[in-house]
Amino acid sequence: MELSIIFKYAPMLLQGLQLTIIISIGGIICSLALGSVLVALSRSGIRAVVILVRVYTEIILGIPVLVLLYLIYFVLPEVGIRFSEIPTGLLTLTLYYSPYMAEIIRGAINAIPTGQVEAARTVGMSNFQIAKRIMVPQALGLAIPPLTGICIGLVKDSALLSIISVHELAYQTKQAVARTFAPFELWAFVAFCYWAILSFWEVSMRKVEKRVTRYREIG
Amino acid sequence: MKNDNEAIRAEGIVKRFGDLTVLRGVSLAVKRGEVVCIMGPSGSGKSTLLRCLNWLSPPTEGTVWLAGEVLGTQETPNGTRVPLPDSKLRRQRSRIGMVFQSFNLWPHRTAIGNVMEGPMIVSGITKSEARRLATEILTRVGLTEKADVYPAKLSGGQQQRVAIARALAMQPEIILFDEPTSALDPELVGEVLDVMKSLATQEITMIVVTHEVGFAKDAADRILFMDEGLIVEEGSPSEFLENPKEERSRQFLERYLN
Ligand SMILES: Nc1ncnc2c1ncn2[C@@H]1O[C@H](COP(=O)(O)OP(=O)(O)OP(=O)(O)O)[C@@H](O)[C@H]1O
Ligand SMILES: [Mg+2]
Repeated sequence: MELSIIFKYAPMLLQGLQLTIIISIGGIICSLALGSVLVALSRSGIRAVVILVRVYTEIILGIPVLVLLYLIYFVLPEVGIRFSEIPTGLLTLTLYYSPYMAEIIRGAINAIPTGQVEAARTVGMSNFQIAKRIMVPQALGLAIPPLTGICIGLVKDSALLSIISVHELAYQTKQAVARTFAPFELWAFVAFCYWAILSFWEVSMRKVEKRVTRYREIG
Repeated sequence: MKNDNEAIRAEGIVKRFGDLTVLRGVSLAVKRGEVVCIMGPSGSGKSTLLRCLNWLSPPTEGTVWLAGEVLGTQETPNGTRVPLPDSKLRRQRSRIGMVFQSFNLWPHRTAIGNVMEGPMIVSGITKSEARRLATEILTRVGLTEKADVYPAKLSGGQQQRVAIARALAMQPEIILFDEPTSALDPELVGEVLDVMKSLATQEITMIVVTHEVGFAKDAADRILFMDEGLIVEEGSPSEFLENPKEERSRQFLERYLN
């Protein structure tokens, strides 16, 4: 066990970590945004649109993220659509995770009793005001626990992008291992990094959730 | 259809859900300051009628006038009626308060937050003004000390009084109550009825769906009895409660008066 290897390759690994964080945050934001759009579309009442969203969701739910990555990276260029590595990675994570995000958002919205919305209507609130002041604040509290889980999945899956040479943490580690032949130290360290970041994320989100749902306490 | 003394009028209200006709031509008129109780067996269409009167669920046929103004629709230049634009409908709705059987408070807002919401968001008054107004109204329903408490920590009776305060805060021309005490434990019914009785004496126009015979006797100017989507009998509380004309009313009252 040689810790000096980790110190020596720390700058390289930190670069990878930085990209992992950027891609993860980008993926989370984009898939949340697309997920919200999917929810809005499936509530639009336009039959063709609703069916389209349904089909898209079914397709995504039925294929592994790795296959989606290959489709975008290797197959799309055949029909003339080509993205470089990082956009490919972001697109894959976004397309793959948005239906899951949509499902969570939908569930949180549906969990708000319709009576509350009707009460808001009788007061004279608009749909936008109802969404902003009645639905979103409560849906947030309901959605945070499942969203935390799905975001953790997304961060972990970002390691798959090393396959298409995105220089994120797993890729950088592979490079370092190839040079040092010290797989144990490096991979153990990287595993610890993922674990530390994701645990911190989970604990923080639990705090946030507690905060935004304080109103439910009866004690 | 102008009548300065009239708070709300409905004519020929028909409501269908698919093949099911729930209201079959209901007409009523309520004067300003009047308290009208609606009674009737379960499924007779009482809730549906209230929801037509504030356009939560627009009637299939018929017209509602709010202080002489047609509710929910407007006439186009070529004489047909079309749904009112949402902004105008919202303004009309804010003039009709509603209190629900299940309170329907917003759980993420405190008692005073629930009361302030409408004045602040819909009427557009400032937060401090809204707070002053809401404090005053919470005092009227006897909940001054509970202002900063979330609904989860209030009893059913207190929650319903907050809901009444929320409706009052919009200074509505009429308040509709849909079985406001049916979801309450018996020992909590009184505090809510007391608040409603005090409103009744303050010249607030109310339509109250209720089976509380005592309340109807004390506070109502008129009782309407509904069955199978129609108003089948109407009279003063003493006439109706002591001397119902219809067989159906008699059977119904026998069940509730014992
Ligand atoms: N949205 C709806 N879709 C279909 N049917 C409905 C709907 N709302 C009400 N109904 C039906 O209309 C009828 C009357 O319902 P309503 O709730 O108005 O009765 P009610 O007199 O208020 O009864 P209760 O005393 O039980 O509250 C019932 O048969 C009910 O099933
Ligand atoms: Mg009802």
